[in-house]
Amino acid sequence: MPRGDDEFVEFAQVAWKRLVHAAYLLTSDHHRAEDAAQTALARTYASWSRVRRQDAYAYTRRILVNHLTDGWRRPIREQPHSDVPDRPAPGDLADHITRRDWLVSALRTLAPRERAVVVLRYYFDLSEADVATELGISVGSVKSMGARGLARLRLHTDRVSPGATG
Amino acid sequence: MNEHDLIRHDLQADADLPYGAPDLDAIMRTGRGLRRRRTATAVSAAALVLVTVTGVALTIDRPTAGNGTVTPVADAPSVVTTTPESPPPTPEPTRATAAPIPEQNFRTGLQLDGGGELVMRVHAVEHPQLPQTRFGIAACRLDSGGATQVLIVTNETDVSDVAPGFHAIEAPMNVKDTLVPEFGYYAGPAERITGVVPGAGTVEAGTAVAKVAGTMIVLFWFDPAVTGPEPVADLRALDENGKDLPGGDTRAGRG
Repeated sequence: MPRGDDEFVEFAQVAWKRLVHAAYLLTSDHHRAEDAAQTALARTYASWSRVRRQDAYAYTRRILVNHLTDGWRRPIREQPHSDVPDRPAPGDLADHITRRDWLVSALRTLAPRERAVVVLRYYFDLSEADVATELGISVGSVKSMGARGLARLRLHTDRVSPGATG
Repeated sequence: MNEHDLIRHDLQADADLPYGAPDLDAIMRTGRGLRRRRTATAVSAAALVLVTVTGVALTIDRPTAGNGTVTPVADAPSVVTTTPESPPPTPEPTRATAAPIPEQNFRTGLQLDGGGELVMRVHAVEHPQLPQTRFGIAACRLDSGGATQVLIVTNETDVSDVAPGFHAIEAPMNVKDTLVPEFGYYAGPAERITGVVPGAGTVEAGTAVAKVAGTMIVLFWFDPAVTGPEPVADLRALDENGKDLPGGDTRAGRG
């Protein structure tokens, strides 16, 4: 296997979980998330000779988000979210898992762009300026969509005490 | 911990995720196909404005295996060049030769399910990011009126285009209502190219021999009526004594 391929394999194995989880946060669908991560990695591999010298993870993340954002522009969009799980109580691992599932369901109540902003800001820890660049929108739009997204999440949040979960 | 920290904490808590492992074979196969397609698209786009007629098609060294005599198609040969998408970030090796590669076309005798006859083409490739690649190949359709239509173009992207072994293999793929056969080329003195198809056993590819950049290459294609839509397994190149030749990259790309 060429050296570049070895490097790509290592990169893909390391980046896989984070990419899939990001896609899951953006879609609430495990299968779509894995498909999106596979697609992003395939496109990265297609440009690997160039990308490997840059920030490969940022490149792949950008492809992933744009790929899913493109999907949102199509007629079939979000899945219905009528079955929002009960709000979890803080506690052990099971509680944490329940809470995470609940949070993902809460994300489904956000508009697609709001959701992308929240995931890029709080999952990938990007600055507002970087989110704006990534999504091709203004920093002002990032701020307003982020604020609206958090407000919607807040409606579904009932934390008993800060840091009580997980 | 403020609200932002709590959301960040919840979103990033992914240690127990049930996700499986990436399908690296599929990722790399798809990526390889995209890379070839991207290069080929660049070549095709540039060809619209930078075609230079340089000469006639070369002659054929020997007939194909099982598909009758191969003859050059009499359309205008050309050499194409491309402009780079972006300059490479680091210096790349220089090309082995700057000699232009004349276009060569080979009739295969294989009738495509979407109509017309499969024609294999060798054409020049010049791309700054592929310093070891001077030519590529294409699967084309020759219609009853004598016109050729390019269906899939592909080329080597990783190593020298004439390194001994298989290169630029494309899996069967539906293009323009036609199931284009698995095809590619072998650099070296291959007498036969074979593969294994589940349920059909070992099958032999049709072949045509060309001389490109001073090296013998063997274009090959499998009959899709035999292989179906999946790439053949256990691809082998055999010399005139039936001995295996070096395999090289036997992985088929798609897309």
